[in-house]
Amino acid sequence: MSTPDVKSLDRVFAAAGQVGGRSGTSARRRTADGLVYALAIALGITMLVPFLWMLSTSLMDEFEVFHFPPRLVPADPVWSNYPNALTAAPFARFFLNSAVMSLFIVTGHLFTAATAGYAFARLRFPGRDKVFILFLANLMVPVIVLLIPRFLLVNALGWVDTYMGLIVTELVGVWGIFLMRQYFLSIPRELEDAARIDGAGEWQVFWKVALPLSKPALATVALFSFVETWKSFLWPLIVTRSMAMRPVEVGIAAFHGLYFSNWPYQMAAAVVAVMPILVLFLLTQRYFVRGIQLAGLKY
Amino acid sequence: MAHVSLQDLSKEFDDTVAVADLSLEVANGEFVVLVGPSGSGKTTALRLVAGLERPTRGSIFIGGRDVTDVPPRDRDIAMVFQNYALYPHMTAYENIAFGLQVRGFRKPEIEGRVKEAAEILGIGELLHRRPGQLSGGQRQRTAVGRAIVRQPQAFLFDEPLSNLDATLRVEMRAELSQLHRRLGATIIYVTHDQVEAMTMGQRIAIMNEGRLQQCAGPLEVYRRPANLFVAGFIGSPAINLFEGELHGSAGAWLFKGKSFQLSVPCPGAAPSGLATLGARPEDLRISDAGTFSAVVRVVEPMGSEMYIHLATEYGTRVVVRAPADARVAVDERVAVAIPPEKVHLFRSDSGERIGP
Repeated sequence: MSTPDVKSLDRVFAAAGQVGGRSGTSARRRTADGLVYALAIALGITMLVPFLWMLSTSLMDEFEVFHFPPRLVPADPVWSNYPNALTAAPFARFFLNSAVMSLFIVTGHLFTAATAGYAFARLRFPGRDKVFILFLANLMVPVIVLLIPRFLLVNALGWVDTYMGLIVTELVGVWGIFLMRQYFLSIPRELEDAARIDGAGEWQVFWKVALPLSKPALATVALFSFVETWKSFLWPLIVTRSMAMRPVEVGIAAFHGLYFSNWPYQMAAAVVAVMPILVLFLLTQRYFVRGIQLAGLKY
Repeated sequence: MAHVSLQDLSKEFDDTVAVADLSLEVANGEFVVLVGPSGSGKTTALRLVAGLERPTRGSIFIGGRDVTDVPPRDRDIAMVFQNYALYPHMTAYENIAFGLQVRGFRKPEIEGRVKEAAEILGIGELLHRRPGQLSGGQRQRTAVGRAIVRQPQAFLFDEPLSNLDATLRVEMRAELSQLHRRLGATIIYVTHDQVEAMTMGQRIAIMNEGRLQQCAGPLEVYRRPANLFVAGFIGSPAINLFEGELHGSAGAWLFKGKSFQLSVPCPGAAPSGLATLGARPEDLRISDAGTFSAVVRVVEPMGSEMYIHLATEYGTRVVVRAPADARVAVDERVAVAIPPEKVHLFRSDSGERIGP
């Protein structure tokens, strides 16, 4: 029921797995394990190589990039690519824009996912499940289809090329609502009943019992929504016009246009752009894993 | 502490009736146990009192106040749940203090009350631990602590001991009885365990299929079960039942079973018709002057006594509770005596008790 319980249970499972592994140390079993590892390593390398290539290219000079056969490690790393690339375009502004956008959208997602998810999981109101299905159906509508109506709406409101325009249409995430609802459903009802009897009102039940118990789910929503926002491209591209309003991804695309042939500059910018996601991922891997377990495969 | 009164309470879920026309008075400071098999509506009845369910019909009074439409938090009751329902993200202290905090008590007052409750329950050393770090018994005590700090009008217990192991259950049973005496609390306690019901309740309310079957003191319920269900539910091993016919005349009734006839002393005219005779295992005797004969199937020595399982020639199963030194052998045919003054008679159709 409680988090430590779950943890200890996980440990038990892990231990059981190990024991099972050890007791079945037949040659066949070992070969099978070896194959699985080989496959996993091969896949891992496939995923990793483009990133390493990006890193390596970002440290080459313009000519070494086209060297044949291609070099994996730059002969003489050109660290100055980084300051040069980052000052060639207003990257500080791009990052600021991305940060502002992410901050508001993540906050918005957390708020709407938690409240709406709780309502769909626990509050009783007529048509609740039908409305929920309507929300879910929303997931099936491709983003592209909504692009033009969304733009017309934001344009009519006069929010093109503003933070408002970048942010408002992104504040509600159906996926987050779904995930939070599923998580709230897994919290034993007795806990909420106990809180009600203890004297808590419906809001306090939500705020003091349900929400603190949902930290793993909240962390997952925050993380996924941050990654999604940080790497979002199409909507920011459409809704911004001036250089000053562009978030990182769009900025890099523009940079690509300006420095078409300078791959090291472009890769240096790209490395810096993925840094926040990379760091965040390393810090919070377990929530990613939890998120995948919670909601099926998202990434 | 207060008097709790349920009046014609009914609760229907879609097309099932969970509780039907339940009327029950629990006196100030009384310990009443609601007992019944699973699905009998006892837990639903408790949740109705708590306000966690709204009744379809009927009303609930706590301390003379009609609380039928009052939300749980304003009913001034406390509840202990089967799975303890401790908040996993709070320490034992915070769990116990939660009810006082949301009600806006001041810190020193909260601290005093939590310490006092922890003292009573012997969990003073564990207050900084989270529920995950507590054993079953400690969690149970914490849950009880959460209930008693609030000093509510009434306590509701929903099978609080069923998740504990047997030894701990016996211990906690006695502790809860003591606690009841110490606090003078009004308690409604739900269980499916007849031993808990018999040992703890000042009165036992037996429920089946949503209906109250009988509500009386433990011995009364045992000695004078109001109907066949109560007779069969209370008592272990269960009461022996024999189908037959009753032929009445004033003063003495004649019960004609398949394998025996028994004349039962009874004042008043007897209703004639199909009847069921019940006899407790401890009232039956293996003796030469038996009422009927049966074959010994199984002998269960319990140490202090012995349960002898028999079958009559018509296949009726009978259990006799005999002294530990009784000499019977499996497959032996023995005579069993039914003392006429100890039997219970019920109508076979309605199950209602006949006679005194």
